Amino acid sequence: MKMVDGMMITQVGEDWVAVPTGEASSKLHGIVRFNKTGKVVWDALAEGLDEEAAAGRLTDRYDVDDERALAAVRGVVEKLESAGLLSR
Amino acid sequence: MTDFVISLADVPIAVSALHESTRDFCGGWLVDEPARERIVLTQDDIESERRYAAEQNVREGLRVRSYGDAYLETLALYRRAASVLLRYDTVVFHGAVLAVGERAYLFTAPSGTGKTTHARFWLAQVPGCYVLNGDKPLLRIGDSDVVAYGTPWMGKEGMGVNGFLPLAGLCVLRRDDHDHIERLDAREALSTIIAQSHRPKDPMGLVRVVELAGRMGSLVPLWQMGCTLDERSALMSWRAMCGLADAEA
Repeated sequence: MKMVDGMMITQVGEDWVAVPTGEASSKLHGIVRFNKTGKVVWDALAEGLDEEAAAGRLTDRYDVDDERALAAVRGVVEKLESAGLLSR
Repeated sequence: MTDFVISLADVPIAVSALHESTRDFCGGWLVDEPARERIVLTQDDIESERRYAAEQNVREGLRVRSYGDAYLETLALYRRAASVLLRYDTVVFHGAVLAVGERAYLFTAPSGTGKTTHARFWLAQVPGCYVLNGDKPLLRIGDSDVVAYGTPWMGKEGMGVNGFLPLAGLCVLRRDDHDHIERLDAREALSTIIAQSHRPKDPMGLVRVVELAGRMGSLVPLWQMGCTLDERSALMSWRAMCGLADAEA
């Protein structure tokens, strides 16, 4: 999986928002909001980790089992793919 | 070259333009007062707009259209003004602002959803209603309120006036098979508010727009409406957004 280049992520209140910036803003229009759990997943994906490894970050940090963590990661991946911000 | 001063959202801006028609375009916003900001429009600005317009045509699957320099200069002015006004916590927003009494109500949606149609229903059915701006109003996001301003960029229908009013509601419209309107949570609305705001390409400007969008969501009642383009939907949205529905419950 690869995150598209040119994304800016910034915090708004309790949430994080990913917005295309620079030249990417001409091609991409998806804007995604996620909570702090989603931010952990975003950071993992941005480092190039796969879904299972990203889920591992969640289980390291929160009291959540592997299955729920993987489901959370897949939810974020789906959101990012729908917005055109992540490609497989 | 032509030089003039326009006031946008109470900020007087000195403009140097290549085309006299740009001055004419700004007609109702021309002022005779010292400027606080300055914009100098160049042929490079016009060529940038030509590229943006072509990119948008391609993105929408349309044939790349040809636009004249004079028209493109008005777009360049809009883009430059949007960047300048961010310094005053003011964003250009894509939507139609309707005024009733001393309050403004904003409807936003992707093009083609029905904003203009809904606006026309309000004009026909809500007493005293007029259009503050039909396409690109300015929103000044203060610490405790949001004020909507008219601009020269009024859309194809040319609906709007040079005025300003406090914003009493923001409604996200979408097509549906029945008419309904509900309150929208600020967190849920954030992506839409950002998407409908003019976003500069530079990261610092973008961060500011995102911050202002977040603040706006906490200051203005937010709504989402599914609409069928039946004219009766106008009274439903009006009664909800101005609180009549609660008052009569």
